Amino acid sequence: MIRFTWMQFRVQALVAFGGLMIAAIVLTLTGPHLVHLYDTTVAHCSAHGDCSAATSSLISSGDKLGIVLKVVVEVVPALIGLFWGAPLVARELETGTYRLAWAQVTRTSWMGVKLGLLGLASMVVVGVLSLMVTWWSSPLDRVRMTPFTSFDQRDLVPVGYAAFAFVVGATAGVLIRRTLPAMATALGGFVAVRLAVAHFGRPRLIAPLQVVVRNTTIAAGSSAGTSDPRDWIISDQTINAKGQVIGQFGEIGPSGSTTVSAGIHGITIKGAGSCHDLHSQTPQNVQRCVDQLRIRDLLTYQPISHYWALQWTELAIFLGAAVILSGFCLWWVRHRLA
Amino acid sequence: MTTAIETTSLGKYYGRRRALQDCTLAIPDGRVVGLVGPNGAGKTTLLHLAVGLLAPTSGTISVLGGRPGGPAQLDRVGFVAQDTPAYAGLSVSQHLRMGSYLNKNWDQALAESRIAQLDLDPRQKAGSLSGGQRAQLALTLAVAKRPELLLLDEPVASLDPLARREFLQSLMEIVAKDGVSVVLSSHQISDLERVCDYLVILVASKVRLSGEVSELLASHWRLSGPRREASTLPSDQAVVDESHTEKQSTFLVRTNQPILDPAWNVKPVTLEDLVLAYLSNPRLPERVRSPGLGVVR
Repeated sequence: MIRFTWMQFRVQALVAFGGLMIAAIVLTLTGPHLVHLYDTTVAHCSAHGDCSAATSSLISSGDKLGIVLKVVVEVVPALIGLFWGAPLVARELETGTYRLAWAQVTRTSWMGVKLGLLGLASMVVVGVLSLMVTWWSSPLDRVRMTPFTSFDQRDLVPVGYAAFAFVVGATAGVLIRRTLPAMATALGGFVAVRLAVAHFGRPRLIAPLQVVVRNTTIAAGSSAGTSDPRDWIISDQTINAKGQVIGQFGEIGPSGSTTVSAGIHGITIKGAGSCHDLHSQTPQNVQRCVDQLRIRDLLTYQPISHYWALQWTELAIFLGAAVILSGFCLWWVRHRLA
Repeated sequence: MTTAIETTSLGKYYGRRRALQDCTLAIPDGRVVGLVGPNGAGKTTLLHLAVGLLAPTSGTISVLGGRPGGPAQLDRVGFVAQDTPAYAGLSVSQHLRMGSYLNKNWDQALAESRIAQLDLDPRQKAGSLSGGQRAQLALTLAVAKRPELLLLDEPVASLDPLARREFLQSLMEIVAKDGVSVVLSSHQISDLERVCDYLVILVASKVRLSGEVSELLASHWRLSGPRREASTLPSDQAVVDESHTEKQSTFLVRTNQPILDPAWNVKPVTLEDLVLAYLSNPRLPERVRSPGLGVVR
């Protein structure tokens, strides 16, 4: 059955291999240039004192292809779900060829081998792609210092997305029995789960840390951060002396801007209180008042040290879901189909 | 008698729709059996149950004494499905490779010689084969796995007369050479007449008639003569079909006894007459119960 599945799958495999080859060629042609640029400019910039110019020139030289790669890594798992997963069973049901296959081979091994082989291929293709893109982007990622913004296009998680997208497609095909509606359903299902995990799951997969920092937004307009710029700040709440939340992003109130006024009662920060001993509204005095009133920022964040744990956890979630769905597919094909 | 297919109160329901209901039959082994019946009688469902494509909702089915569906059983049964599906994107030779990958007893030499004999290009994609060629490919795949029993579900239904004749010719050659048992469902009674030596008529999941074709033909007669009522016929003549004009009556009767009444003009029946008579009168012959004729209720 493995050899037969491979025979059926050869064309798709060839397309995927071709795609990977193109990506490999493009990336090996352009990647060394970025590494060279990093080594010759950014690596020594602190000595020359031109770090911001060096980093921005590096980022801009990798920008266009970077965006393309971002899209490619995001889209390829969905394509696998659409073109490998959804037709896997639906097309055989549509064209009636399952009646040819099932007269030669038990449907358990038929479904099992198809899911196993193509599932594995999906993971390998996206795994290799992710590896290449991660390597290519590493100089850019190092200067950007925001690994969590490219979290789902790097390292391990794309492999989980690919496996999951493929199995979602296959399951949709098994249940709906028609290729086109199965493709649509697979796309919808995959995107929904993917977004839900990214937005609601990832911030809480591992308990985030919290830290209270000095508020500098009201006086200086500069937002607070954690000690490491690579940390992923999930929420930034402004709290008062009693620890109550009185605003967001260093500001007071939901509107996002803070009203500070000076008068005979001293400096008044609307919604927080007044500082009677401070009279003229200078930035220093405002900062002093902020500190006096104990207005601070409560940051909830995933530290950079959680990056790999989060990668592994999210990978495990998607792979686990793929395994469970595969089991369901097998059961359905054995007991419920036709 | 060993049986190719034996069922006991076999049923297959899709929700509330009954594709096959309370079907009890025994189709003998070692023959070329024609399975006839109107649309919806359950022929395809029965064959799918026999291959293991379907699992019964109720009752039991055994094929060559085994339960359908297991890997060992799959090797013993060859199946040509309705409309003879093939993988449009795979070539003829790739189909043969599929056969060799998936079947333990695969006979590559037989498959290749059949493809050569049919003048098929091994490199041609199955999607561009004509209906007749595709049917021949499907038959080749089913035969080269060296089954003990070959099941064919209306394999010639969509073929033109020439392709149909060639297909049946191939089938007969295979039967003559390998002695494989065959169960073949078809609407084309004239085709069945050419290849089958045993006939099973299925109406609404029930066997209406079953027996050796030669015996069936030898025990059915068409009588025509002056008008009279069916009830006036001798008790050993079971009326299958009757038609009357003002002065004349025509009966299709079943009997093992010679017809002695000189008033009758007695003619033998063709298989087509016989099948049509039974299909258009969906009740059992009531007055004759002769043991040798194998009417299975």
